[in-house]
Amino acid sequence: MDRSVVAWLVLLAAAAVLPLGLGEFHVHLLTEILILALFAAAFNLLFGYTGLLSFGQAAYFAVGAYTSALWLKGPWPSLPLALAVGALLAAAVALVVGYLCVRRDEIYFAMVTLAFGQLIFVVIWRWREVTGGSDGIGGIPRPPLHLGLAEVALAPTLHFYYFALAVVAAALYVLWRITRSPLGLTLQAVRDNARRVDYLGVPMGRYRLAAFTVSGLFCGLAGALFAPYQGTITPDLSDWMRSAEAVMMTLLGGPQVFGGPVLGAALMTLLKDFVASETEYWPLLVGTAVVLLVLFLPGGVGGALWAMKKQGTGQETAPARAGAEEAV
Amino acid sequence: MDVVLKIEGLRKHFGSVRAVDGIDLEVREGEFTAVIGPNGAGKTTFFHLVTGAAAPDEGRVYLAGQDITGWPPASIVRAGLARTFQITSVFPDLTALENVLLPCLARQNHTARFWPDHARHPARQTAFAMLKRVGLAGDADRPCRMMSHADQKLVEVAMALATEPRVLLLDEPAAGLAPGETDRVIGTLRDVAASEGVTMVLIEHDMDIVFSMADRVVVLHQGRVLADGPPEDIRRNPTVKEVYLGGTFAGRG
Ligand SMILES: Nc1ncnc2c1ncn2[C@@H]1O[C@H](COP(=O)(O)OP(=O)(O)OP(=O)(O)O)[C@@H](O)[C@H]1O
Ligand SMILES: [Mg+2]
Repeated sequence: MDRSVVAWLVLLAAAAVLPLGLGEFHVHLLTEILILALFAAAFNLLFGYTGLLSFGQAAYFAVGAYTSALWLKGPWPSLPLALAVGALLAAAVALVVGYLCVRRDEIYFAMVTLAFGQLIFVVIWRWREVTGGSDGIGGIPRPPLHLGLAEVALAPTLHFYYFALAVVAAALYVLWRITRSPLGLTLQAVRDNARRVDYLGVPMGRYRLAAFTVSGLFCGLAGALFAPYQGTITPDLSDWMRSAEAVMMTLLGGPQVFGGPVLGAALMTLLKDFVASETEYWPLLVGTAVVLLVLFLPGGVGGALWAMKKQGTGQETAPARAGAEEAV
Repeated sequence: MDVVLKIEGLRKHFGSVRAVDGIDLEVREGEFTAVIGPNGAGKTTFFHLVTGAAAPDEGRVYLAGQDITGWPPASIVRAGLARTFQITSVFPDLTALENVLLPCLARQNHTARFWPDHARHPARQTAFAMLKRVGLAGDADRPCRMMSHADQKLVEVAMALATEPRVLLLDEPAAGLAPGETDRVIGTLRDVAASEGVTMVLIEHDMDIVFSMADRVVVLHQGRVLADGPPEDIRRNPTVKEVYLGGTFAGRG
């Protein structure tokens, strides 16, 4: 078996056992890490793999969260359905926004995605009848999960953690498969040299749009999980600060390895939790930490670990090519 | 021989610069055409217009009888017209093999497949064969950015061939190479042209190369066709000599 597959299985086993020894508060924190890990990994499909820096991914996270919240408070409260509807609606919005953005490059792309993100923020803010405006939506239930004959309560923190773990693990697996697929290779080619792929018969815009939509789908899924996790959601979910968080988590962990954003989400959440308990200036401290990291460890923590491993095995393959250890 | 590429009245001006100023050209299947001309003659712009990289102000382009004017570049490639670039253009962080795999996948319409592992895709064999064809079998797993300039040029040729073109436009494939490397790149091109039966149009400055390879030479000057004919005729053409001011041409004449 592939070594990276083994590493993921070990991580999954650890994630399954870890909460058993932890208190309620920390299990809650771990659940947040899972959700943000998915959010960051979805962002990184665009950034690390397709070369597009989006500053508006929080919008799709929020679309997923609000859709999921409304669904759970509606006539058929079912978590799997809430997740599906939330993710799909986020993907639909991403498809429309993406269509208008993917022709732009670099900073222009970042600005346009930021603008659309803020537009969605304003819509959520102003559309009181549906979104509750600045009050947001509270009392989001966690209905039990029906598994054939059995019924599993998801209200307990630990139960919801396992539910989130299953969803996030499955979603990360799908994203990981995508990055290694022909589509993943095509996206990496777009990242490396966007203007070139057309001359090999690959219409660049369409593939960027595909990446944007899939990223929106998984950002939406993360948001759809977040709503029942938190129980209350407010418009600041869609604020650009949260989009910036996806960027920072990814830079922290390293955009060039698949697991980088996952690691970054864990580091950032723990750092935030630790620093926030000490001082109210946590954004400043976390921001400084990210800046230092980007300056002195450009590949992020994950990239540095990857490079160390590569040095150990004497391979010359770039970290940019996560999971490409195959021989012809 | 059938005309595979036909250009009619192609024109492109940039402000007052008449980069391409009314070019008519017919390229027959299997023919090896060289396009020469001084710097700024409009050679690259001509390729841009033919491959959809830029829209002509006027004129039409036909590939195997089909009007492809105004088509998006990817569709033109799919119709069978590939090109390489004057400034080498590869995917630096992908391996040589992956660079060539992409057009192979595109050829099979598999670039949108998101579940199977591309490392196990059967097209990899095709890509590898293509790399071998240009003498780079040993470098398959090297990231392109770590390869020499000449090797990158050859990777680009392999990429273009992997689109399975009927016509291949090569924009100075030997530009900026040391003499030994030029021979290797050009030798490879000559082999490929002979064995694959691809119709090639080559932009080149080196007259030795042009006269040793081409069946036909087209001389561009100020966006127009100044002369067009077999290498021998072009070599003796007084107008061409004048444009090149005796330099390379007269010396060898
Ligand atoms: N995008 C552009 N905008 C303005 N002028 C342009 C543009 N592209 C080309 N030109 C001009 O058109 C003319 C033809 O340029 P082109 O690159 O086609 O020449 P070339 O024959 O390929 O030259 P070289 O041998 O140096 O590669 C030049 O005068 C150039 O400056
Ligand atoms: Mg040129």
